[in-house]
Amino acid sequence: MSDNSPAVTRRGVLAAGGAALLGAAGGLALGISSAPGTPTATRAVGPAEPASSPSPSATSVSSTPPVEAIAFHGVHQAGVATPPTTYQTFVGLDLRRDSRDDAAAVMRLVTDDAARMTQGRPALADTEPEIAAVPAGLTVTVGLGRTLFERLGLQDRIPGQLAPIPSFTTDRFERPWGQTDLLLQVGADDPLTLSHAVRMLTKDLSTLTRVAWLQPGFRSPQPALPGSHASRNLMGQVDGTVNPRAGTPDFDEVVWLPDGTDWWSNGTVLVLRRIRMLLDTWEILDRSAQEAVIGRRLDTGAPLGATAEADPVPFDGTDDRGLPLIARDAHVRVAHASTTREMILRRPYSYDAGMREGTNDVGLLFAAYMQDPRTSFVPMQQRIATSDAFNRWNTTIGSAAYLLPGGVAPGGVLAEAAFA
Amino acid sequence: MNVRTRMLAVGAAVGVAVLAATSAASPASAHDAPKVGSTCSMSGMTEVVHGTVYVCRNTVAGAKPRWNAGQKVSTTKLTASDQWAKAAKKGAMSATFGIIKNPTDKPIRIVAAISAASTVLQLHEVVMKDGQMVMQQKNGGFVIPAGGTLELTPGGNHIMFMKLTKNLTAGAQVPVTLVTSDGGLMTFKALVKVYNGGNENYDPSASSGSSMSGM
Repeated sequence: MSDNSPAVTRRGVLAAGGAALLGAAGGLALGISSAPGTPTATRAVGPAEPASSPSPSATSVSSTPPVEAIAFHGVHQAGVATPPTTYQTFVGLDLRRDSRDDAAAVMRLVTDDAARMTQGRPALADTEPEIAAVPAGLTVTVGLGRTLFERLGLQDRIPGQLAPIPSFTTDRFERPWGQTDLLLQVGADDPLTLSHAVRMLTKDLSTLTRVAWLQPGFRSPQPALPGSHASRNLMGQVDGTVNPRAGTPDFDEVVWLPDGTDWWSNGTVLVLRRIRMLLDTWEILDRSAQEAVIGRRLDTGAPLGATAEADPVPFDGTDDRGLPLIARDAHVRVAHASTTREMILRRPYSYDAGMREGTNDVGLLFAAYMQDPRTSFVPMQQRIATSDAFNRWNTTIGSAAYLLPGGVAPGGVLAEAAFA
Repeated sequence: MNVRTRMLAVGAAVGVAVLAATSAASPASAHDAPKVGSTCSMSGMTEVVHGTVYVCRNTVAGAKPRWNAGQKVSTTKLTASDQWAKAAKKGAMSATFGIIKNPTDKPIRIVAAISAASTVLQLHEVVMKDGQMVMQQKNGGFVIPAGGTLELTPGGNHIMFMKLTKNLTAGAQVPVTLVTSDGGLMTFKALVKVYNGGNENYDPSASSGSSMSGM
């Protein structure tokens, strides 16, 4: 890359103006580096189910969407360690009444629907059963928000890991993208299957809940690069290079809460943020400046100064003129996790919400999964809010956190113990 | 309120025959057994008194329903799967659907159904009448051949809650007990679901003297 674009240098891309002052916000947490030696896959490999369960069809990157079913029953809920589907919709719902019976009813309905539809069987009372015959990798994952327990008077059942996410100076929240009582994360490789599943679920819950928002996302079915585990976002960046890989001890340590008998045992915490990309101003930068902001090349995804996507980021490296290869406020440096405890699993989706104020309303549904945001997402986001050069070109307009309880065996009901 | 309510509290289980004859045999009730052969107000009414189940049925189409001879309560090997019921408000009608299986080597006839959620339940079929789909009571009950299945579906055979005694809210599980011609009882729980269909016209003239219409 050329070294010195007028506005952006490797010395400090923000030398000319602080991002926070400009009112930009958020972070894509793009290109987080792990500790040396940790796996760098983002495309999850292997089933989230016990070894005896049927394997999901897509255990490797493939351009052919799976038509087979992803196992629903298991120790963990599907939709976290399973390979990201091409399409995924997040649905935020609030209970209509402060009723534990209603909360339990929601769990019964969602569990029954998901157990059937993910296996290519219509839900009970499905009026379009032919669509359900194509599961297309369908996953339905359920999350519970703090507000659910607060309004039901069950504060004592909220685990510490579901502590409120603090506000950051870069937050610019817009309605309606905030916290809800419940979350449904519905993914599939076929948009018809996905839409039908969302319709079925929201119809079934329509007398018990109100949908506060619905966030459809997508990603390319192709990897960013041949052999890569990452995909490209709408800024063209290779997003998700460094991620724990499913089936490894690192993944379990980063993502899954311990086994036990609590309602959240074997679960995980999802932090979902809606991050608008400011493409009009981003595109003003030339490519070298865009790469300097992140600390990675756009074409190969390689760290600046390195050659391959998976290479370690040369945080201490300098170029032939003695300038840092990675700027001190480059996104990859600021978002870097130095220990496994600080790591998160990123499973992001792009969104395209059409036109807004004369430009494209596009961005990222930042979906990160972790045992405890207090030791991982929150400190990382604090660093990003304080000093990430990238803040100028994106804005966090929504945020919510949910605990995704552990999975269930056949006949079980998700999160049943939470409302018993 | 009545015997069957208490009985269901004992025997509720999903899809399995669990009502042992003893559990329904001795409710401490002063309830008198219906007088066999006497007329009853609505076909489908069912009473379990002192271990005997009595069903109010039309034996002759168009005639008034009468209490049939009681059958000693027993169990049946029928099983239920995919059972659900349509959400509806107290006082309204509703229906339950699913798949009933007869795993035995003999036909089994279902003659009535009981639920604490409804004053009366009826076995209905949907037939074409004057160019319209109309539902009416299935006078002979549902016969399931040996090893066969009975599909209860909206627009087909189904079991009607003639008047709900409470709201059927989505996600609840409503117990329903099937009664066979030889007094066999089998209880399943139906998952209550939001359903916009299932609104076939009800033609009471085709069977009992009920004045209820619509669902």
